[in-house]
Amino acid sequence: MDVVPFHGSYFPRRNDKVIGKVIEVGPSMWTVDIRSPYLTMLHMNDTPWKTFSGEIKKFLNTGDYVYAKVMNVNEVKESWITLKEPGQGLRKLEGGHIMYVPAPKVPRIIGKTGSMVNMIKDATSTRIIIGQNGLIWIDGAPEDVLIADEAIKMIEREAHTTGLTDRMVEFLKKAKGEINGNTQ
Amino acid sequence: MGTPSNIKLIDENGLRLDGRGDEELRPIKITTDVLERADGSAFIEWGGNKILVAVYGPREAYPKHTQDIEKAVIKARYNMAAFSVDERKKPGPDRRSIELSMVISNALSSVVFLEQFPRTSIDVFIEVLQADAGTRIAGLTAASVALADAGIPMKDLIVGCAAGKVENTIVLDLNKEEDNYGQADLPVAIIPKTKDIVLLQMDGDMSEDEIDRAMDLAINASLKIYEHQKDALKRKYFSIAQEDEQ
Repeated sequence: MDVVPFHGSYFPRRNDKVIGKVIEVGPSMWTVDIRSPYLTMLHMNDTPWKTFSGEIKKFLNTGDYVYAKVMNVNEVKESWITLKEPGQGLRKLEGGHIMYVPAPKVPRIIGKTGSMVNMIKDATSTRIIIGQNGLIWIDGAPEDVLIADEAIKMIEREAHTTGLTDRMVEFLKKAKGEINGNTQ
Repeated sequence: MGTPSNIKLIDENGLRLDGRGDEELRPIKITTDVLERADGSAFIEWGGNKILVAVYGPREAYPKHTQDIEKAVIKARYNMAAFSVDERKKPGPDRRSIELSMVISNALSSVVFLEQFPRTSIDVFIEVLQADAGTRIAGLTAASVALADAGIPMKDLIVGCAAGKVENTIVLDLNKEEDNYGQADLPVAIIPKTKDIVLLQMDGDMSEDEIDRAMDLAINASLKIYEHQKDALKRKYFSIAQEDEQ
């Protein structure tokens, strides 16, 4: 038996899609930080690019963010991620804004079949990608990104309460109203 | 311990220096989530004790040779602030605090599911800001709350209490004067659900019967403190839920 804590770190599971930050470039592999106790690896053969050993820095450098899928996790929790799965939106993330919430809150932010995040996307006209590890990428006009960021922080804070969806509708309505300059 | 003194620790009405009876605890208050940067934290006020606990991890263990490929290691550090006692305490680890760090680490290791996090360390920092006897137990009690606050999977919380012998009477939860001038001090920590003992030390001397009696007192009191711990963990979420309803 197990319980899900309200917060805690992320542990990679196979087939999870995560957002990670490249922190080291080796001759044929990138080391990626996915906000877990364990760093993960991305091998050059697991990318859609034509890479050559020793010059993979051209494609991804330290500080870049990737949206990748966990390919494998072994018994000592070493893991490898991949960008080479067509049709799933795996890629290097360019531009946008990165924020972090504890991984156990992620299901609440996505909502039932994505209802919560879709609501935020529609209301703020932003593009949002949520990694299972709690890193979130938001792209759009700066003021919209700020609203989306605020909305996600609100969900994080109140993840364990009921009636959150209704309050979110309220919040988004109000926030959008203020942007358009017609505060009630 | 056992320093001769002419202070009367128990008066003719059977009351102690701070007005408590033999089996009475000092007031206890536990707060969680007091530090922003830590993964989990707790602050405990227990009589005159004020202790802050921060938990970081599980995170990759450094230096690397401390890693265990099969499980996590708990590194607890018990530290007393220079200003925590009447006479300035020389800062830095000493014989006593190294020992306490070890016994606290061992106690915590017995409840955390370490095998879920190979190669990592869970760092527990116990900072005694103000000391008034019973700091190892207060620190351990708060540390288990901070671990729970950090979302680290555990069998149960750890809770403890001290009992001792003062003026030939067995009393619960010694304060500083009783600790310094009493005859014995017996800190006990247990896993409340199973009643397993995870820490037991003694300073001074007691007969077998006296130890049995002291253990009973301490274990019963621990179960009361266990309720304080659970309350502290729940309180944070209740307060957010209530704010929303308004």
